[in-house]
Amino acid sequence: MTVTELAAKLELRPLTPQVTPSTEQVTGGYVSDLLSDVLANAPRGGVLVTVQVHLNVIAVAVHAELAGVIFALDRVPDESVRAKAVAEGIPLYTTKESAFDVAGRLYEFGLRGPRA
Amino acid sequence: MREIALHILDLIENSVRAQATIIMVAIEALPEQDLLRIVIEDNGTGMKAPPETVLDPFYTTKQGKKTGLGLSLFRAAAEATGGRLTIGKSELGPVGVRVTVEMGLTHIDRNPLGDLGSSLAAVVCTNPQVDFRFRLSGGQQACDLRVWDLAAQQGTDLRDGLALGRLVLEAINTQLQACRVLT
Repeated sequence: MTVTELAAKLELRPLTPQVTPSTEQVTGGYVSDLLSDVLANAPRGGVLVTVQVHLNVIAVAVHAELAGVIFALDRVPDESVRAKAVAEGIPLYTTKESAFDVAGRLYEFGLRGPRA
Repeated sequence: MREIALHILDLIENSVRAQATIIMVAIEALPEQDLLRIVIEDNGTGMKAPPETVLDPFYTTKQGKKTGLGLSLFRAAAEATGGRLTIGKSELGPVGVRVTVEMGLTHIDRNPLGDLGSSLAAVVCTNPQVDFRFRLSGGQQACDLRVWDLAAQQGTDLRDGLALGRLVLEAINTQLQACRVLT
């Protein structure tokens, strides 16, 4: 499943419509608000689910080569953060669901996370 | 990062890259103000950009990298506990840098100090040429620990990084046990 397909199925609200998401299959998922943990453990080409809306999230997404970021609980980063995501080509989405529920649905779609 | 010690390690590495020959690290618990204060300063070559730029997670001086997260993540960790990270000048050198981080000592989102002994030992071990000065204080306890002085007292060869690392590990762990509020 691609990021675009996944966003449609989850009815995510796109925050960066200017970005054309990767057409590669999403490799997995990760849920964390501790960004150094994301850096260390999120799968390359996977999606991150978080409630953090700091600019650091975009930097981490670039560094970890993530396919996209989903903000839970209707969180929306500032315009400057979204602009940086556009510049870096990272698609951002938001949803009213909690990170727990988003992760559950991603799991249903067959996505998995890493193991320690 | 799960441990504050790893953030400290990251900043010390910045100082080492800036060719510092003196690096001071002070970690102070102030229970009456509910504050944990960490100061890292050096006599290195200074920062190439103003503080607001170096705190940008997309600013780095390393070639081939797009992001520089050390300071940004430490600042975010401090702010998550109602604290802050500030960058100023150090008197250790003409363009020395001082980074001060304040965190809520008992704040629920403050990460533990972590394995400070091992982190500092590792950085001393790999940089025996640097004059490292550590200060740990908490409650009624305070201790200044200059690695070169410690080595002189123990008769340790200053070129022997591994031996210096061992000294630091033991000295820091002993002091951390004495300062029970430093956790």
